[in-house]
Amino acid sequence: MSELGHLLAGFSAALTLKHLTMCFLGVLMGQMVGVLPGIGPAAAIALLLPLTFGADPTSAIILFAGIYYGSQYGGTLTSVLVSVPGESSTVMTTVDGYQMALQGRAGPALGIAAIGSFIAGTLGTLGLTLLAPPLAQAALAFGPPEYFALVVLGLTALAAVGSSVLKGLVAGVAGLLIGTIGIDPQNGIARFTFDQTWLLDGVEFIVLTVALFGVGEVVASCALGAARPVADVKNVLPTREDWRASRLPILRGTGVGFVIGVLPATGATIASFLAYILEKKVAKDPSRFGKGAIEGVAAPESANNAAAAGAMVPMLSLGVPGSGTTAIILGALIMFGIRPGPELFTKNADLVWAVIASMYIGNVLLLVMNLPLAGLFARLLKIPYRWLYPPILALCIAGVFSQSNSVQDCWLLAGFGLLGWLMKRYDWSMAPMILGLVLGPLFESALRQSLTLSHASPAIFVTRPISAVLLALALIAVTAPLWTPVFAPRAKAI
Amino acid sequence: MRFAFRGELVLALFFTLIGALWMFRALRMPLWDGFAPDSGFLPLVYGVLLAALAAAVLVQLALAKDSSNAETIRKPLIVMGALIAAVAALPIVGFVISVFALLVFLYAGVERLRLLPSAIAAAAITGSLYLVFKAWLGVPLP
Repeated sequence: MSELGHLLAGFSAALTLKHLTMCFLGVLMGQMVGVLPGIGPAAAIALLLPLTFGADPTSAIILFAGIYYGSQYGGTLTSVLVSVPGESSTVMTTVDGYQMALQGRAGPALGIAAIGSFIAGTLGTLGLTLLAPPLAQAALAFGPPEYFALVVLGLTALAAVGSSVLKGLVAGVAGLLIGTIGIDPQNGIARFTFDQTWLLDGVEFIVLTVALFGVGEVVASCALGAARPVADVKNVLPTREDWRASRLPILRGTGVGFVIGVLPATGATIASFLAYILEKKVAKDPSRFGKGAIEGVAAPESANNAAAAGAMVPMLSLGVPGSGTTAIILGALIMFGIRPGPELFTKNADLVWAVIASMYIGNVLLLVMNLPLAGLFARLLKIPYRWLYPPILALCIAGVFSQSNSVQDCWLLAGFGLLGWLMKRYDWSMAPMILGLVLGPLFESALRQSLTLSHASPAIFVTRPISAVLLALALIAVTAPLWTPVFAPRAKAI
Repeated sequence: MRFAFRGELVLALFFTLIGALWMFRALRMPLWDGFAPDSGFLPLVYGVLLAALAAAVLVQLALAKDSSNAETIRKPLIVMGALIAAVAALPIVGFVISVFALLVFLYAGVERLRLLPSAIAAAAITGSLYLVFKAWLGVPLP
């Protein structure tokens, strides 16, 4: 079946009442977590994992994907209305968006952000539709050495996304290390169980994810103050002049965002920064930027939504997540017994194409929600965080307990929650730890199979071209902070 | 040196020690079997890597200037303590009482909200969770 045929089949699956409801709930929750302080899309997906355990995987992944790209829309509201970015990818929107709100133009800022996000999200999903299948097809020839190199690339690329590559690598290796707790599947030896029978099954992905992203984030954010004053939202539809000024920035932002999103180790935040800088460079009057230029809202908002779709390309086709949230979605796929990577498009084509189709539908739903209902969502900003975090903690306890009806898991929740709080507080990236735990078994089996094939020669990883290229990319991701300052003065001069 | 700075040192030291523990225990396991690594090989590699990388962070922190802000940690510590107390109480008093008590404590004790609205909110949240997990999902909550 051609890609178009697959996509049409995906639409027929995504348009069933069950999947449509999940898509709507996903984008609605994404919109809400984007607006609410102290909880991001990664935490929201983490909290929902226990509820979807045992459910239909397609519905669950449609829900999670909806939360992911929906949160990019929601983060805009806080950036524009209270000058507090809901997500790191909406930081640049704050610069001109809040200035527009101060000038009484919060409505058009939100309107153009919603329209730009819709165009970028839809074009980005189109890019995903066209790019992911051939990439997955090309990667079908992967053997154990290539899978080994892919895991190395995934971990190093994700480590490079955070504030410090070194701290990201610590988190990634710690995740791999946690993954060794339990029975070794190769020969049945119990490893690092410390004579505790309940550790024989290892540490569950759900427990670690809920602890780090649920408890850790909530405890780190519980000191947040009362709700801030919120600007009024009127006349969301942009004027003809606004639209004329924003058309090209939206298209340029989409292009920049998608390309950056596809590349590992980048993500929506970098995409929005680059799109903003590009607009400032090409503007006739760059001095308008920072004072309420609508292009300064249109470009980064388009870029972050296109990047969210772009980040799904390596996640779905190669099993390499480009962001923390896609790392959790990847873990969810494994939780449902689905092996991420190139085979996803052949062995689980129904799921992948239904998710892609749901992204087109979700973007339409988000546009409908954001134009007439922007004012309504803005009211969520008035809810003080002190009312929100206690039920989140209660949900963490119930969710983790329900995973395997184990109080010991709740102790792990508290222990890893404490670790998550410290990591969040000191800006240590937590997503590599999740990815390390999730990909650890694949990493170990790929290493064992590769070395058995090569009669214990590690040269197999560098003599096979794809594996060598992937490892070279991993090396570039890790060493980027060392050599980028060399080029920085030249770039500044430009 | 303020707590904020020392706290990150503690975090890096924790990872270093965990790495050392993994190295130590992995050496007691078989490391190699024929052409392929055995059970202890990768844990040993992870342990060495973690200890080395976390030690590098430790050195980086020790050489860096203390630029940390002195934001309060009292409230996060109380919230964390309340969570641990609720988990400890789970097998003794059950899910409903421990979660209800946790919520009332956080609303009324930590956030200084009035007792009645706090108790009503806590009861509504506990009841909702009980219905979802026990009645709908069939989880045998303690």
